[in-house]
Amino acid sequence: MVTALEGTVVVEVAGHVAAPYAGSLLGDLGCEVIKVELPDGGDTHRGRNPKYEGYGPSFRALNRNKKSLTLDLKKKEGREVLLKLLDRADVLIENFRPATRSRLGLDYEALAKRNPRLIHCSISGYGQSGPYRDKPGFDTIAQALSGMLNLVTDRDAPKVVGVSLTDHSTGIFATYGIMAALLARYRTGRGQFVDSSLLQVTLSFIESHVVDFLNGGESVSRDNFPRGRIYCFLASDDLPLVIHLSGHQEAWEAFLDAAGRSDLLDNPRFATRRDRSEHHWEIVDILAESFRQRPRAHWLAALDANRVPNAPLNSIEEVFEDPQIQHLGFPREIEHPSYGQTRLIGSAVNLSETPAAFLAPAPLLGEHTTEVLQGLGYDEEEIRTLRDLGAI
Amino acid sequence: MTAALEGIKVIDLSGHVAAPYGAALLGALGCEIIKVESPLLERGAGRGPRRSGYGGRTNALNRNKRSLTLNIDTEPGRQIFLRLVSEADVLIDNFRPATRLRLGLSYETLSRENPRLVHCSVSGFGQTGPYKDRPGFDTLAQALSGILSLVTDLDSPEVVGVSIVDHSTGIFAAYAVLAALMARERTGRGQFVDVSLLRSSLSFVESHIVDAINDGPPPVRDNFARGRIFCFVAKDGLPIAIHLSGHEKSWQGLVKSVDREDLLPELGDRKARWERHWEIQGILQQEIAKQPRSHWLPILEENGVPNAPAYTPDEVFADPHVAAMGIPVTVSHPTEGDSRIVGSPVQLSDTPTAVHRPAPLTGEHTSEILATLGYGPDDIEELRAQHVI
Repeated sequence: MVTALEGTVVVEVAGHVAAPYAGSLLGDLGCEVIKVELPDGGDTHRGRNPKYEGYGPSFRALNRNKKSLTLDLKKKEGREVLLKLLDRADVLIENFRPATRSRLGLDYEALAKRNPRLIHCSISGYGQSGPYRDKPGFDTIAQALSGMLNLVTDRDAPKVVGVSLTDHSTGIFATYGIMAALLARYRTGRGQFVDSSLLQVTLSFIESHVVDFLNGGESVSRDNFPRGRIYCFLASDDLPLVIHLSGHQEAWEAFLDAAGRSDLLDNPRFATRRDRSEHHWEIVDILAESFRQRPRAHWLAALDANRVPNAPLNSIEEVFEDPQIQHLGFPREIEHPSYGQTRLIGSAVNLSETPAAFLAPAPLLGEHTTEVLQGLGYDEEEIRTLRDLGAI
Repeated sequence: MTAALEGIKVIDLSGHVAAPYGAALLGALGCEIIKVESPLLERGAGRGPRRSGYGGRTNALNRNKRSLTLNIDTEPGRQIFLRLVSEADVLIDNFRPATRLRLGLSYETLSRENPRLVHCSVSGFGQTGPYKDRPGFDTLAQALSGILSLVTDLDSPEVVGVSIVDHSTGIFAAYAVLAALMARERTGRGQFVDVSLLRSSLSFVESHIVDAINDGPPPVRDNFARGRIFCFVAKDGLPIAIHLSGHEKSWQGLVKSVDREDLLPELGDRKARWERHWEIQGILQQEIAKQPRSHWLPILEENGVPNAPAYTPDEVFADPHVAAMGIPVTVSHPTEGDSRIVGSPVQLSDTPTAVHRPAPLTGEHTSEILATLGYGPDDIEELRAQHVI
């Protein structure tokens, strides 16, 4: 069996999280991904945790299945190597601000003249035009502007959550745009420019939450979301659990029965779904006390017995003790010749005939420079010259 | 210009959020989507086309789709479904594995009907394993995968206001279907694509939890922001988010903005700022609280500090840049009128993404679709009388 995108060459000129995540998701599908990094330190995400000397776990996860080529794009010689590489590539992923990209001579128009089949995916903060186009883009900033932050925090004591929601959703959406363009290329024979930005992606990601507001409904906040449907409780052993009720009346009845609080069935304030939505926080207060009376294991079993959808709120340590997660084969291991084993999650999806590749660990900085340049036809002496110039 | 996936036929046999979102994302690329819905739900509710439920949210998840009502639990309904499958490129379902088998819709059966079919199943927990037939919901997958532990305080847990897992799973479903369509260009065959809420969640947070699974310390929600991200509330109660880049100058710009450069000698390196993050947050909050937000935003900008107002939805759509992006988009339904939606997450220069049609009313296109399969008006009447459609 081969992989889905075998033979597709992707050049990633990018750092941080969003764009490298996109590169790794294409790598999982079997693309050959060449990561272009500055000779001096490379992707800044390498060094985020000094403990790991430029090869931290997060970097390893985001850069599996890639080769590393060092190039100084401020030098003419470095840019020449990149252009040669792009002449043979199917996809370019970059995260320059539009003005920087123009200054480096890497605009789509120029690249498409040399290689009309190239798919050029830009991952910017705010898109290619508009008043913010040349501002630096970051996960938190796009969360704040898009209203996502408003949906995940309390406005009077705001804090970010512990997941870079924007960076990750942007990475997946970039691959969606790129594969759509690759499919279109089968018909048109031509590449195109794929414009994805942290801001537009985040807006799209929360569309179904804000769309009521857009159509004359009330503004939304974090507290609207769980009303009448989702409950989080602490058990007597301080372990948290969650419950998701479907809309059916029977689900509410089964839930109260499992909680040992069927007495609440007679409370007219909680009679219908609409009542329960309106008095959500009152219900939470009442039941929180009940759930404090027994340990989590008791509640999970009682809820299961009544077929009420529930789950333990796993800490990260508990995640990998879960039987289903172990059954799915997580975590997986990958080996680097000089760094040994790294445990990772790997691909998000299973394809029956063209399984996700999980072949190569993240590269050391410049690990494949010589190999890639040789592939472009550079001989040993030319490579030495480039190295002396500091271009690679 | 045509759309990227023009001519690709998708059957959306799914409900809730994740799988319909995945199908809507394929619709934005120009696929022709038929949403198959149960006629029984409507009759049970004693209503015709469901008008009360038609609104922005329906449009967000079901734009670009046509609706066919079909009871696949009857033999004639199943036959109609198999005829649709025989002409389709993609099927998206969200059955639990046992339900799919009971309905006789396994991939093996369907691929015999149409070997080019890409069959994507969006389940809660995957196709095998101890939880495979449990109902899957966003919150449950957040809880099991550890996402929830990273977005809430564990001693007073609460969900956040975004169904993170449903949406990321929907995008991953589109990603996987596109990959399978790419592979089909080479192999000529479809395949089974297994997407689950649980697995998508784990992949989504991989870079946050990978340190912990390699014997590092477990991630703590509050460590995410440390030394880098601050949220403040200005005098007028309006929140501001700040994300320091790796460069020292963004930190220097921040303390200069609030006139606290006296902090520089003590907090000059990242390590010190990481360790004393919450203390710094407290000190700077006191300064920010002295002036309204509109005072601070231009000062932060001038000093090169990446910043943004933390908008409420009404502020979002009043922002000049969001407006310049052409967001929101208005879609118009002949009987239901206009709905405003956000629209596509990405733009393709030559094969643009678009909203081609508004979300359908339930069963709006039943007759039209059956006619293309060769059913005449009498056949359709008969099927309707039998409650098959």
